[in-house]
Amino acid sequence: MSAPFVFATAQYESGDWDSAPMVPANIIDSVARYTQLPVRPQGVIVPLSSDATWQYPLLYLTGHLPVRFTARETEVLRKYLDRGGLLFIDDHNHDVDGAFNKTAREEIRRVIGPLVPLPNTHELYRCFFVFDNGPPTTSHEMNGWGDNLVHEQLDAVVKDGRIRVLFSNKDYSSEWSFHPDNKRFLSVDNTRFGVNLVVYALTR
Amino acid sequence: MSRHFFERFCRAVAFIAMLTALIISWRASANGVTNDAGRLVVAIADSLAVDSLEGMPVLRSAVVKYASGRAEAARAGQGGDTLVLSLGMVPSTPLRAALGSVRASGIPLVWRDETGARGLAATVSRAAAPGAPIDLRVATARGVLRDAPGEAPLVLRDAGGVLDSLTNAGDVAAWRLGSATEQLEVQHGRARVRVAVPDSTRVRRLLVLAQPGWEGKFVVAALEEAGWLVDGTMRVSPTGAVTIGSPQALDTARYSAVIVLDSMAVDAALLTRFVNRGGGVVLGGDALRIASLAALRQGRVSVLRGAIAGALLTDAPRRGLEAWELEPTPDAVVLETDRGDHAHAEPALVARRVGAGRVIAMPYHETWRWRLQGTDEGMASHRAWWHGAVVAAIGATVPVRVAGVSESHPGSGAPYADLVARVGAPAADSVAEQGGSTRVDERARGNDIPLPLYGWVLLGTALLLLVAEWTSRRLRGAR
Repeated sequence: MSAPFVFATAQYESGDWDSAPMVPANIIDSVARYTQLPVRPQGVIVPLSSDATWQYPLLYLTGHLPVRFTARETEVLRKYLDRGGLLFIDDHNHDVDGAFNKTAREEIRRVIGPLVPLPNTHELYRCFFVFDNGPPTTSHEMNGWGDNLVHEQLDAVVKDGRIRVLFSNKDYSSEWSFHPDNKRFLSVDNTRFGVNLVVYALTR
Repeated sequence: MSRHFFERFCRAVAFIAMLTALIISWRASANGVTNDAGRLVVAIADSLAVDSLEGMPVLRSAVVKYASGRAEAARAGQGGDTLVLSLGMVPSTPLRAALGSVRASGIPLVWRDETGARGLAATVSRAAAPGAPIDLRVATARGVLRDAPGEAPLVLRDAGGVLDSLTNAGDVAAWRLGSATEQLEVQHGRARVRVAVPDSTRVRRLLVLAQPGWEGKFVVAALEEAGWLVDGTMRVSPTGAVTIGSPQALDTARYSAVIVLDSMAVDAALLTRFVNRGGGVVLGGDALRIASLAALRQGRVSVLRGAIAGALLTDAPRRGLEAWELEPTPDAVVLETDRGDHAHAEPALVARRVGAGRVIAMPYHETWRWRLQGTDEGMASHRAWWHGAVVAAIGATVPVRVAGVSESHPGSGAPYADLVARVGAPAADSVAEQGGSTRVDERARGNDIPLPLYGWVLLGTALLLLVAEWTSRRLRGAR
């Protein structure tokens, strides 16, 4: 039996890294609900400047405010990505003109390279649940805030055929930030894409 | 005055040219047939191009003469001649075939080795791993490739030209090449040998059996980075699985090795049949505890040894991983050990032969931590470790094809060896005379004119000079 999966949220010094506190519990619930993967019931918060980062090959990072990594955070993150870690960044503003989007993209470019659009046929979209049209649209994209756009694709940095950084402007942080018990009110569970993300990270 | 000088010059040069032509024609007559007492000696000297039919007429006339002499000897009630070949160079493929036929016809044939060539043997091996280096070893029939005055260097070539040359090679010369074209040629003096390079890119795939998790993910990543093609299926839910590559039925025709990483249900009968037929199996971590694979295991697995905190960042990073204590069986071979806390070293990689295949045991848990939490070299070390384990499981190298498959005639890859195979070893006395020296044969390079042609050119030159001298004399009124 392999060690249980631990959902890790990245804590960085600038910005509001803890803007979506319900996301970990919701994704953990979905992973346990739909798969037989061993998963730890509680997530962890990992400071990006800490060596503990390397214990968690999948990291979730979100926020509304500008992101500026410190020198130590940059160093740790660069090694983390070089060694095969996967960083999932979600723009909580769902705004391509927003401060988070612009600064986070700049930081990722500085750390590992530019983000490029990820094809909607990528195996990420069919490794467990099948999303024929690419990343599922969220109810927050057209809510009158942010850029009011439906973002057709996610962006990524891919190395050696594997996603190292996955970047979303779709605001999954808002979409998934609710108590898992309330899933019973949804006709289609909107956290299913989160399961794909975890399955992809654990297998590819 | 000047005309006198010109005429004397013409006479002198014509005389020298005629003298030289005489010497050349005398030397050219060395390619011929002479009779010693009871020995018909055929001298095939160094006027032969390597792959030409020259020498065939000499051999043909020798055989005719031998046959008539034998008939006369039979009439006189005496024994026949021995046909002695004096070979000034390694004969071409057709000539070797003809010599083989002469010997097979019952004519007593011996040959004197005046080739100055050595019998060279070359073997090539290459591990069945992607990008594996080519190991080439060369030895001579006379044992030693020694650096002696006037000794020709050992030259290694491929289709792209000269790769290396050695002047002091020792008993056996060896090269390790990163890459080369399909065929390698080694030349030492007049001796050449050609060997085909096995293609290491024709590796079969690996099958990884693991549960979804960081270990499976990073082992697959390490093997793919090392150049392996990896297949696998990881079951994520009772009805869903993630496939890696394109997994197919377990068969030695498709897979080189199977890597089992977790304690999980496996088809032990299928795996055992795969190993017995020559496949490799690597049992890593908890896979050593799979009860159904007990027959394949290399020893008894006892307790889980704890990881030493901080060791991943030292020069012994594997001590920073949890590992099963492994007690190898007598028929198992410990390939690698780690420093242990006890008085003895801990087995780190253990091999055991099962049927035609091999099973490798590796006791470590969660080796992905070595890659992610180790030093900056951790990623490369982790990759090399898994690559090494797979290569150890596959064991055998790619079969070596000695002698060029692209050659039009069998034996032309190693002509000296082919000659010995066809007409036997050279006569010992001439070997002693040669003293193992090597002469460089300019003919073998095929870039100059046969010697008799020089004779005709020189005679023509002498004639022209004499005509010029005679004309000069007549024009000034002298006789």
